[in-house]
Amino acid sequence: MSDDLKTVLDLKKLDSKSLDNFISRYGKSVQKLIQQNNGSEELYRKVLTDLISELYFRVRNDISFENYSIDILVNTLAILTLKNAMNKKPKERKPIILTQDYYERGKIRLESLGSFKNEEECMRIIKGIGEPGRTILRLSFFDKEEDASIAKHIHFESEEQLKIRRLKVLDRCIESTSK
Amino acid sequence: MTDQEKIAIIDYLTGKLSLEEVNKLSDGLLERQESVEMMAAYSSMIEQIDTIYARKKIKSWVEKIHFTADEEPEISPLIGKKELMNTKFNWLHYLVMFVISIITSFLVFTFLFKEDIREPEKAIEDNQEKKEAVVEDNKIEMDEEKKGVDIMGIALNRTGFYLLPYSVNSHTGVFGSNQRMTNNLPLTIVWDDKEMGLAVATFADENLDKLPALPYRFSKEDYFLGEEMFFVFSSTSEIKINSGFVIEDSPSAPTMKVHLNLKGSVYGAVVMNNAGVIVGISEKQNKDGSVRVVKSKELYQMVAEMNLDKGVDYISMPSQNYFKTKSNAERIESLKPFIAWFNSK
Repeated sequence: MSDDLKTVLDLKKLDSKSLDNFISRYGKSVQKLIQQNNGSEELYRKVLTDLISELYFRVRNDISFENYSIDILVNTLAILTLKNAMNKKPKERKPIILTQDYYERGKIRLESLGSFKNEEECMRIIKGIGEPGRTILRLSFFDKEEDASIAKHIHFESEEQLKIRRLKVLDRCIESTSK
Repeated sequence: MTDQEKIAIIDYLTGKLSLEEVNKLSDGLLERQESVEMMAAYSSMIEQIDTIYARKKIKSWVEKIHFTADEEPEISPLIGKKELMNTKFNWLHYLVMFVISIITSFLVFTFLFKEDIREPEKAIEDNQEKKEAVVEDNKIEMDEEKKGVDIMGIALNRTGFYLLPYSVNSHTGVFGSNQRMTNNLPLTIVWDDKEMGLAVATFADENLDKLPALPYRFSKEDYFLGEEMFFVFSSTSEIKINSGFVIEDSPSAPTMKVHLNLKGSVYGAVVMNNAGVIVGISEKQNKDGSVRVVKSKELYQMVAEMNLDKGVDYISMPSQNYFKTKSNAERIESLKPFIAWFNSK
């Protein structure tokens, strides 16, 4: 496995080491992309966030990385996230990234776009769930902790109790989304 | 569809079923139309929850990153011929830098070597002092492990919610007391937020008296670089004060770094500015004397989230600052009833 591939696959952990490695490898080329397009530091952070989110989504969902060189994939995704960020703010200057010849631009897409387009709405729903529901959701679906340790953490008597509570909380989330 | 069937679908989606259980599920439950719809809904929601928390974590981490304006970015496949030509110039640049660094190193080593020859006794003394300092630091670390770590908390409201650094979570069985108690009571974490580096805790006793009105307020400011800060800390009934200057801060950062004038344990210490406004609480002091402080503006965000939660008592943040015209000695005296100290043993 190449170092670049490992750097991207390690994003699955989302710990400071994996994020540090990723930024030290790709941070500067993203920065250059932003600067070439007259972007601000704020835009740089936004593009980095979206780019890492996209890669995290791909790694978590086992979307294959074998079809492209990792460099090309990361840099093309950076361009796509930049375009996406600029489209949301049409008043700002449009990017000039078309002057750059990036590879396979027709084939690579932002896979996670659907997942985070309702970010604020979803955040509002999760906040409205209250405790310990929110902790159950985070530990179960983001931290991917074992049921036994989650039950212990929130002082539930058994894993069964946890499973029922998790189901109710998840049902409430789905119900709130459909309203 | 029964709750047990729904639970089986969730377990299936999160990969918690064995192969045998999956096969059993595939033959029956998963073939039904309503199961397919249910599975799509759960799968989408689980994915969104994962993405939300991941983006929250990434965002808080990316906030700390800034442009490195003077450095040339690495060559990427996107960069054209113009940049490739620049790399030739870079080789020359690196060569010149290499020669300069060799000359500098030579001069530095020559200077140090001469000093040691002139004053051998001084050099031996210096070495001895360094060794003692290392031994002393190790001793402090070992003592802390032995005794457990002292953590200080400051009251957030009159009902006895205390603000602590998040790291309190890493210690099990934390007990504490305040000026009004005679015995140590176990600590209950009411809320914590790893990204903000804060936790709110209370004593596991509902019959405690209410605290008097809080005489201080927490700052909403976000930038303190160069300002003098005062650290008030306590691990027993006595309270100590330390001061230092903010040496690292940026408006968007959730923490700042302060260099302290004296050494001492400041885990969870209250950090005040000149006007007596609480600007944050501190993490453990580093060996170089600096300490990272979680800014109190993060607290407002956390409390807003807590107040959305019906399971936690509503917190009304103190808004009056009676410390403004008081001396530090008076401030410490007034703070005493609102400070609690905790220890993992």
